[in-house]
Amino acid sequence: MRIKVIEQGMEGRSKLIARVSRLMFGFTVGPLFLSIYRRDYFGTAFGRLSQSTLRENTFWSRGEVEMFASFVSNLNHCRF
Amino acid sequence: MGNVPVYSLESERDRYWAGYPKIVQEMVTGIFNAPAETPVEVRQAVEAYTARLAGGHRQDLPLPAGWEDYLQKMGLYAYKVVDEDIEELKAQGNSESAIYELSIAAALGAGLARMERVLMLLDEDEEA
Repeated sequence: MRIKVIEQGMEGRSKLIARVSRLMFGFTVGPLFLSIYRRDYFGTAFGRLSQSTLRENTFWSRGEVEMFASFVSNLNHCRF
Repeated sequence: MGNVPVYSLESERDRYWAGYPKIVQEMVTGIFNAPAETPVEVRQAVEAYTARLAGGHRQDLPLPAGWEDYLQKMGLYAYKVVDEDIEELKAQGNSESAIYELSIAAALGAGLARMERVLMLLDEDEEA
């Protein structure tokens, strides 16, 4: 379930990205959606934190970090 | 990070968050300072509540009426949130924007408390 204000509240480029996501996957991909909605409130910082955490690690490999994230997501019953 | 202090609203907030990585500070700044429908005091109270549920150190701040059950789920087992929880909040007169803002604040508290716990354990390990 998505709350309507989020689906309908996108504007400009964010709206386009959301539409492309729905066309490609049949739904708006969760992490993508979180990073493009209300960018000033949470979206931009969330996107940067996600990228930093998953891509800029100096000890673990990128694959290992992705696996940690996937494992914890699974424990939280989250498909991502 | 050392001992995690209990911070109060406004006066100690900036000093408290200054100890966090810059990228985390950016997230906190957005959630507490960006234009929002909900008052900042409410967002801070929500963040503090879910942080405490996850073992974090925060002041016990008053929550908005009717939100405790939902926030408890968000703080402890967010995967148990269902459509009916959202419908209940909307039936109480909360807008979807308010639900979004406070859900993010709740997630922030829950996530930060877990991060703080790990950093405290790492500090203790270094001191040992």
